[in-house]
Amino acid sequence: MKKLLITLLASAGIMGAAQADYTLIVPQEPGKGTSVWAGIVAKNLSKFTDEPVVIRHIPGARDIPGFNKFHNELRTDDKTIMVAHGGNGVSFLLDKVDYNYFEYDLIGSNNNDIVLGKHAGADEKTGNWKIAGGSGFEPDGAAVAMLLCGPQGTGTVAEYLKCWRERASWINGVSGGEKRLGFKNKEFDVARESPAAWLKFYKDIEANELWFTHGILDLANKKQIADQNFPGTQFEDVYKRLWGVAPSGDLYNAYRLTRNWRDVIQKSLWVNKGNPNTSKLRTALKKMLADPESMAEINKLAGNYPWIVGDEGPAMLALLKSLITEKALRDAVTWNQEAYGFPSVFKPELLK
Amino acid sequence: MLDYVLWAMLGTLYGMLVGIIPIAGVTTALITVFSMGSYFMADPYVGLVFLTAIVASCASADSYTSILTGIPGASTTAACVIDGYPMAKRGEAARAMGIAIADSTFNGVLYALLAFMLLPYYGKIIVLFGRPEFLGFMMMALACVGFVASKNVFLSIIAIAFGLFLGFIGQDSVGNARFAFGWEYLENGVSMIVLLSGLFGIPELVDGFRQKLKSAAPPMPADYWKQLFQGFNDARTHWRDMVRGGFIGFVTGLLPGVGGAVGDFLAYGATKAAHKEKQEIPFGEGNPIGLIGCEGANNAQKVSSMIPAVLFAIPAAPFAAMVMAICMYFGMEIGRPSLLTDTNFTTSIAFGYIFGTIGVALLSIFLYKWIIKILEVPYWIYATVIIAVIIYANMQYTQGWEDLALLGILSAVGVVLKHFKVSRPAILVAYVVAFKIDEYFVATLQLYGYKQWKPGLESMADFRWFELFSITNHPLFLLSIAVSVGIIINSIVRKDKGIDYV
Repeated sequence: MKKLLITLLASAGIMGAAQADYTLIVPQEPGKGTSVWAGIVAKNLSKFTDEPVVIRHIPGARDIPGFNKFHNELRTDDKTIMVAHGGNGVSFLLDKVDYNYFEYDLIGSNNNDIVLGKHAGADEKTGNWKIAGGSGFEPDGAAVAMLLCGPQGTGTVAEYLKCWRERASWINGVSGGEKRLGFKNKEFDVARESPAAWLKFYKDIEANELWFTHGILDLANKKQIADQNFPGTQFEDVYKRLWGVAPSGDLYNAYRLTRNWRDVIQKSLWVNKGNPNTSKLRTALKKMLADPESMAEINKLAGNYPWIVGDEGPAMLALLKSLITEKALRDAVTWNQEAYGFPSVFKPELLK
Repeated sequence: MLDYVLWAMLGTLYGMLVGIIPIAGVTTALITVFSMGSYFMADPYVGLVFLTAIVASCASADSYTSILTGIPGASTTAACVIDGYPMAKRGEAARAMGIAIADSTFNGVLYALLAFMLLPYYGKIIVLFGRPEFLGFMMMALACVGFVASKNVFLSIIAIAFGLFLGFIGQDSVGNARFAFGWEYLENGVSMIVLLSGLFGIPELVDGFRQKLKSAAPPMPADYWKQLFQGFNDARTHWRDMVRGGFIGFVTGLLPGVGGAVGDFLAYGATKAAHKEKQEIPFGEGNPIGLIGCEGANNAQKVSSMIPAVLFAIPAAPFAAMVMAICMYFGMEIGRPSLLTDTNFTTSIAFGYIFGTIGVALLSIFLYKWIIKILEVPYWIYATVIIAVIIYANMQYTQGWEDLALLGILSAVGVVLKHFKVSRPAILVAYVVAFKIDEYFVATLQLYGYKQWKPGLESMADFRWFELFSITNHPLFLLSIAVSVGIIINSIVRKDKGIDYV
C-alpha cells in the first residue's frame, strides 16, 4: 500500500512539472481534424510567443461542451485561447449553446472551403442519391438538394423538402474514413472533404469528379468569390450551368447563412474580450503566418486559404451577423430538423 | 530517413527495456508512450516506425525474460516458460536464449515481410465490403471473441454486454448524448487509452504487487557463446517446428480479441502432437523442441494482430488497440482503405517492425550480462515508475481531472474483472465494435429500410419492410451472420472447447 502511495505521489510530481502556459482549448478528442490542426498551430505559434502553447482537449457531444466550458469557466484566464471549428459556427446558429462569438476577441481565423465530389458522369437530374452526412454538413446537404432538385416553385424549404425526400437518402453517423470507402465502392453517391483531404484521398480514385465547392467569402467586397485552389467550381456557378438560372429562394438564403458561419470561421482562435494578451497573440500569429516553414506545415493539413487576423475580427463578425435574418434562421432550423433529423432549435436571441 | 532510423532505434531500446520487466508487456509499453502522440503529428510515419519498433522489440524481449525468470512478461509469452525456464535452471540459459532469438527473429521478419508488404493488395478485398458486410463482420468478431475466448457462456455474455455498454457511451448517430449520465466528459465516449490502462495496464501491475513478485535470472554461463550458437543450431535443425509455430501464431493473431495467449499454447500443443516419439528430455522439463515450437508464435501473432486493425479498425489484441489509439492521436486514420494505397504507411510499419525484431536480437546477444542486472532490480521500483508514467500518460488525453477519475474507476473494475476471470479482451473488442455496430446498423437501416432513420421508436412507422429484402443481395452479410450464430451455438454445446483468456 505504501508503495502504491509513492506511485501516486510520483505521478503527481510529474504532472505538476507539466503545467501549461498558453493553453489552446480544443473542443474535440485527440486525433480528429481540428485537434491535429491545433497541434500543428500550437507547435508553430510557440516559436513566436513568449511562452509555450499547449493543448487541452475538452471533447463532448457535437464538440459543444468544450466551447461552453471556455465560455462559462475558462475564458477569464488570460492565457486561455479557444480553438473553434466550422461545426461550432453552425451550432451557434442552430443548437442550444452557451458560447457567443460576440463576447470574444478574434486572434485569427482560417477562411476555408469544403469540396464535394460525385461519381464521374452521374446525372444530378435522375435517381435517388445516397448521401452520408453528419454534424457540420448542414450547408453541404442544402447545396446538394438544390443541385438535385433545381428550381422548385418559389424556392421554399417545404418545396425542397418534398423533392429531397424523393431524390435523396441522408445517412447519419458515418465517420470520415467510412464515407470515403462508401463512396469508393459506390454505396454513397457524394463525397465531402476538406480541400487538403480531397487532394490527398481522391486523386487516385477512378471515376470520381469534383462536383462543387462553396467558394470563399471575400470580406473586403462582402461577396462570395471562387476558391482559387479549385477555379470554376463554386456552387452558384455549377448550379447555373446545370439549371440555367442562378440559385435563389428560402433554402438558398438558409444555405448562405450556414455556409458562411461554418466556412469563414472554419478554424479560428478566440480569447475573452479585453484579454491583455490579445495584442501579443495577434502579433505572434502574424509572425507565424509570415514564416514559410510554419505555413508549409499548416497548409499541408488545411490547404492554402486566407487568414483573417485579429483586428479584422469585428468586421468579419458584423458581416456574418448581417446574414442572420429571422426567415433564414427559421428555414435553416426547419431544414436541419426535417432533412437530416438533427435536434436544431430556433434561437430568437440571435436576432437582437 | 535519419529520423526513421533514430526513432526505430529508440523504439527498439525502449521496447526492450519494458519487455525485460516481468509482468509488463507490449500493451504497457505503448500506454506509457501515449503522451508522445502529439510529437508525431507533423510526421506520423516516423511515429509509426517508433510504435512498431516498440511492438517488435518488446514482444521478443518479453519472451527472453520469461525464459530466464520463469515469469511471463505478458500472457502471450506464458507458453515459452514451460520448457524455456527449466532449460535456464539446468544451466542452459544461453542455449534457450539462442533458440528464442533465432526463432523470434526468423518468424518476426518472415511474417512482417509477408503481411505488411502485401497490405496494398488487401485493398481489393475491402472494396467488396459495404455497410451490411461490415455489420456482419462486426457481429462475427463479437461472437468470436466472446464465445471462443471464454469457456463460461455466462461470463462471456457479461463481458460482451459490459464492453458494448462502454462502447455505446458517448453520442448517437445524430450527435445526442447517450449513457453519459449528465457527465459532459463522457459525451465523447470512453477513451481507448483510459480503457486499456484501466482494464489491462494497472490490474496487471497491481497483481505483481499482490504476488510479491521477485525476479532473478540465472548467472551468465561461462560458455555463453558456445551455448548461444548451440541454440541457433537447435532452431535450424528443427526448422519445421519453428515454421509451424509461427504459422499457428499468425493465424490465431488474425482472430479479433483472441490473438493473445492462444497462439503460443496452440503452437506448443501442436509441437507436442508432432513429436509423439519418446523424448530424451520430456516436454515440460526443458525440451528445446518445446521452446522452438512456441517461441516464434508470439512474434508472428504480433504481426497478424495488426492486420484486422489496419483493415477494419478491429484490434485482434489489446496492444493493437493501443497502436490504433496512438495513431489516431497523431491524426492517422487506422482502419481506412486509403492507408492501404499509402506506400509510406506500409514501408514505415514494415521497417519499424523488422528493425525492432533484428535490433532487439542483436542487443540481447551482446547485452545479456546487463539484462540479468536489470532483472535484479526489485519489482516495486519499476512497477512504481510504470504506474506513475501510465497515470501521467492518461492525464494527457484531455489534460483534465476527468481522465484520472475515469482511470481510477476502470482500474478498480479491471482488478475485479481479472479476479473473477471475466474475459477482458472480449470487453475490449465489444467496446471497439460497439461504436462500429451502431454506425453500420444505422447506415444499413437507412440504406435498406428507412429513408431517414431517427433514434427512437417513433420512426418505426416509416420502416419500409419490403426494401429490407434487398439485403439478400449481400451474401457475405448473410454468411457472416450464419457463422456468428454457429460460433455461439457451438460454444454453448461444447463448452470445454473454449479457452479462458482473461
